[in-house]
Amino acid sequence: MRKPRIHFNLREWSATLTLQQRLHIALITGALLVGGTIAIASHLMVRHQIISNATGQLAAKALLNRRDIESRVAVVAGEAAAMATNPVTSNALADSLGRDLYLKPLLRNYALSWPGAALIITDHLGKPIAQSPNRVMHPSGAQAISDMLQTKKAGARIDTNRADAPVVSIAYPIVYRLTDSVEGAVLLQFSLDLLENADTAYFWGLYDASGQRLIGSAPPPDALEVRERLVLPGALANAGLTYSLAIDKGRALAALDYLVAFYLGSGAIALLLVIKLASIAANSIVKPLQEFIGIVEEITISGRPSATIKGIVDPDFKRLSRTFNIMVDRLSQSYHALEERVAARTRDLANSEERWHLAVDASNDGIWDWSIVSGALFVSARARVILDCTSHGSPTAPTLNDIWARVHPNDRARVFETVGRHLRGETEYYISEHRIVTSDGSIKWVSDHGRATFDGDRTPQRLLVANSDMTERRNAEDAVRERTEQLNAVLSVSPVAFVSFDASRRVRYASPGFQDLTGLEPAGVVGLDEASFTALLAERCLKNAPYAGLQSLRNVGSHGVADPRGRMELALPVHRVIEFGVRTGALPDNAEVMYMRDITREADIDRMKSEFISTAAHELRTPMASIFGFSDLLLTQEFDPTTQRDLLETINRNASLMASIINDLLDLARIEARRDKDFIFRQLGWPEVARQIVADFKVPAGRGPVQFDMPAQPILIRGDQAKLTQALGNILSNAYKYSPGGGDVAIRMTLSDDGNEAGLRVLDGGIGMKADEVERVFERFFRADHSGNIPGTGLGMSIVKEIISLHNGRIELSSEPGRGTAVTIWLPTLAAQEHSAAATGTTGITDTTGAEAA
Amino acid sequence: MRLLKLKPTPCRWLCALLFSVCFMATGHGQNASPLVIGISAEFGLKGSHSAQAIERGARLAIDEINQGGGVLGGRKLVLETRDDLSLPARSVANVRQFAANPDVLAVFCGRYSSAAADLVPLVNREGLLLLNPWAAADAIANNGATPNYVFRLSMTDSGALGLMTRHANARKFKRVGLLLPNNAWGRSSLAAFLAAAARYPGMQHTPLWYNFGDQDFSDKLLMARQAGAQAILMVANEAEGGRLVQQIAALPEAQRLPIISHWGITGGDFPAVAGPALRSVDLVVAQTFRLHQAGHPKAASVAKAYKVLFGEDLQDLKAAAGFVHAYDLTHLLAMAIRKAGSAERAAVRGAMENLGTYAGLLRTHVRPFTPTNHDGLDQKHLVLSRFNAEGKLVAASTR
Repeated sequence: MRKPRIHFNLREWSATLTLQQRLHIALITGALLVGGTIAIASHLMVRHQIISNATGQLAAKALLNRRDIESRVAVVAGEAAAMATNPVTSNALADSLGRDLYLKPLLRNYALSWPGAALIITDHLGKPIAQSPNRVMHPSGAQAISDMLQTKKAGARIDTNRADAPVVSIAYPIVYRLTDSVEGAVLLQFSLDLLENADTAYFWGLYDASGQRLIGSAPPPDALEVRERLVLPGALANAGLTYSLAIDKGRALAALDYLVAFYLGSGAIALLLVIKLASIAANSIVKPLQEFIGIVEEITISGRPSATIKGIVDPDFKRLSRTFNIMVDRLSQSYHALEERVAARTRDLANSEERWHLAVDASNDGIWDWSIVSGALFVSARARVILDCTSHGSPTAPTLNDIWARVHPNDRARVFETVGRHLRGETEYYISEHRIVTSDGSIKWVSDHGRATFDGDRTPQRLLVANSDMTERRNAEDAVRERTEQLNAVLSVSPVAFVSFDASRRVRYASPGFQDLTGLEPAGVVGLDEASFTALLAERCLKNAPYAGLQSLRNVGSHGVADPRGRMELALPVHRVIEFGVRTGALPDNAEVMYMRDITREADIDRMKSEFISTAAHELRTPMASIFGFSDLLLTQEFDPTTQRDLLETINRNASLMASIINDLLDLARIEARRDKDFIFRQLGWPEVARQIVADFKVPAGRGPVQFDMPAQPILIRGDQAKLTQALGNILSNAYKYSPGGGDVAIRMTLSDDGNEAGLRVLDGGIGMKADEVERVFERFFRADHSGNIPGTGLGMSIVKEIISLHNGRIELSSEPGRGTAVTIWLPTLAAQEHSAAATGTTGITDTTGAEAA
Repeated sequence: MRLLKLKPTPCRWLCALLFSVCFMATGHGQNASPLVIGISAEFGLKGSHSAQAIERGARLAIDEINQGGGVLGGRKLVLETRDDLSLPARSVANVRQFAANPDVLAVFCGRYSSAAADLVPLVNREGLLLLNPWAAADAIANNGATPNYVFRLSMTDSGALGLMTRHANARKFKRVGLLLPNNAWGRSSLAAFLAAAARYPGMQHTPLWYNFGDQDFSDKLLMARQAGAQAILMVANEAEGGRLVQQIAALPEAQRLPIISHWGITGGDFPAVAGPALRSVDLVVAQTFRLHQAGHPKAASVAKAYKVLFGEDLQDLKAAAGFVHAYDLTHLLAMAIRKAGSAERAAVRGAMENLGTYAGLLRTHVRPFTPTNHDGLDQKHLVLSRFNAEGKLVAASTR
């Protein structure tokens, strides 16, 4: 059956009470709560303290009592144990007739000291031979003796099967000194009564190891109890006896009951007083308050702060009413002042806003202002043009989505990231340059520069962004960048180095070619003044061709020489001949430009040409002098026919030499100039060709024929037979000429080990050459003959070398002075050439002639 | 030199048991169980040879008797030994067991007066003969009981102390320290000394009581010196006697008191116990006989039989007095059985008091026991001996 539920709403109920009643109830309730809390807390603390004190006292008393019991047992047992080890006791075992004489006094003394304990001395069978006068042996003694005789150590028994107090029996062994064997026992027996030591206020008890109470009274169930393990000597140590001391809790807490009664009485009186005082206090608070309420109601009805309070008696409320009246007056004044200020500020604001709109409209920059909190967006007219939001979306104001839709898809992530970082407070400004796609599909560059405002929690409130159209500037920048890159590309591959100086003649720029030529890094020279730059380059120059600096050129230029140039020879990083010049620029940063060009190769060629011309002229001058001299003689003097003929022969011989030299020079020049264009390459059977050449070679008079050694197998090469004939002829001719003492000249043809080269060796037994002469054999006009008796132009071997190298061959030359010389021509075989061509992917070699020849 | 060490080992008990069983078997063959003679003595005592010597004396005599056809028409005698460790409680327990066996006719006690004295009321009550070959307390044999079942063939404390006091007096020792064990033997000896000293005017003594097992006698020696003692009359066994000799020998020569000793020290191997100190001390000891000087015609034949039975020389036997006394007592018992014509204990006891002459090893006994005197040895025959350099006992006058 359900109980009817009583609905009680405290709030509703309290609303029905007057303020006075509520104060009254609140004061009484408060007093009851405070008083009740103090009473309960005090009760608990006092109770805890009493129990804690009682427990502490109990523990201390238990400790003392336990110690008392332990010491009593120790003395009782200690004297018994001493009796067992006394020599007299041992002696008494063998003195049955006389032992009473000395044992009796000992036992009597013991009985006097410990009336509750008995000592019995037995023989080895446990039969008493002497005992203290106060007791007879208790049955548990025999068990203790039996235990002792088995273990030969003190044994203890506690007999609990008794109506009265349990009896403790401890048997100590008597060692007979003549045999060192246990021949008797000292049996100590005492009732546990002996240990009683507590006063009647307590419950005490001794408990065995199993917790069974041996003696003493059981404490009541809710008693405070302390148990302590007894530390006993020898045989009793293992008995595990525990001492217990307890006190009735009710007895311990009796004081608390009185205290509670006192609290209840004094509490009731205090409650009556509180009720009375609460009533008075509620009255005194509420009465002036009701008067206030009346005044305030009056002001409320009138709508203006004008009424005043009068006739209050209470001093505090009097002060309050005075202050209240002043406050009403002030409020009245402030009310009017405020109305005027509001009107003035409203006017100012209208002006300010007007100026702001004028500024926004006048500016070339667009502005949009986004209130993040409300979502409102203001976009200025210029911003709508820049962002191309005029013709897009709704005819009304553009939204944030309209602006976002214009952002170039490839830039959106970056813009989003930038805005996000700024709104998270990670950047001070929002700055972004990005593209937008206009409605006609063209690309515009827009620059955003904005800043958000944050509240105290660092939450963004508003984002104001100014934007401008960057398209033209970006296009110009791109054009400049492109041109710069082109220029850099040109300069980086140009063999000509450029160094530009500013108006104060400091190095502003050095092109990559500068490093290639001088080994100096551009970064190391940029910023140097001209003197340092000149010194730096001069250090790297040869002593005999130093760098004279730009000033020398300026000096020359000032004398009207157009485009003056200088030259220097660098020793580092490698030997180079550099030609340099200077041009004047139009820009302050580019006032002068120095250029440098590597002319090492041109210089070398010039030098070689000069050397060759001087050598050739010298070689031609000698026969020319003979021809001139002897022909002059013939013209000026008459000679006999023999002499005349001699002179003419001399002239003829020198003219022939000159002709040879000129022919050789022409051959050489043609070969060098035309390279292999005059050559007619064919497949040749090289041994056959060689054989033919040797056969056609005119051996000087008086000399033996060429010794010939050719392989039987065919060796094919590609070559120009005429040129090879000329080369081999020159070699054979040298072989005969430089062996004036006679001796054979031999030719031997061999194949290299891999079969790729065919070697033709010409051996002679002539004058030979030194090692340094061998190195110079292929120089033009070099002669190994120092006597002048051997005719020659000194160009033969140069021609041989050119011909063989145009056949992709090579020449080996070994010689020893006085022993002869061996010259070997190595030519690639046809098989090797085809193999090589196949490897390089050419279509093979056919019988072709040079283009000119064709 | 071979020594037969007789200790109460289990092996030895087993031998004794087998021996008894063997005789019981032959006894049955002749319609009579063997007659048992018991020994309850200090077999297990450290350093003691007295129990073993007594056993050998009885065993040799029994062997001779059985060789001669036994007693009462062929009834054999057997020996049964029990150890009492010198303790009265153990000797009483042993003899109770002997008494319970009807075949046991007589029991030998050992050397210790305290152990023997406790047997006196028991044997007199049970009617079991107690043959005492050594224990010297006067009250053991002539104990005043009627009938008295105790027969002693040995020295008495009165005899020993009488001899010792006479010797002291002869050497003009008027102040003596009297070293006494704190037991029946000591008290009996004190009484004997007081009786003897009464015969020598001016003889003064200082009693020096000690307990069996004591090791240190320096305080006793100090007391003796402070009392002006000129000699020590020593009532002790070999263990305590040996310690005393060593402690006297350790003193400066001028302070070394001569020792006149009761014969307890001969119950063990005293020269070995006392060690070299023995040669530094003037010591004479009371003896009932001197085995090594016995010119007795029987000595040679006994020594021969001893050698046959035990395989050792009689000369090497320690505590020889026990052997001699037990040997003679056993033969005297056999005489009494024959005289009584019965193995009944009371009859034999009566016969013992009326024996004839027996030429024993100790001496020729002529009716050794009478109803009023159960001490079979005339104390006038006691002699004083001393240990020679070889540790053999020789006449005190000899050096």
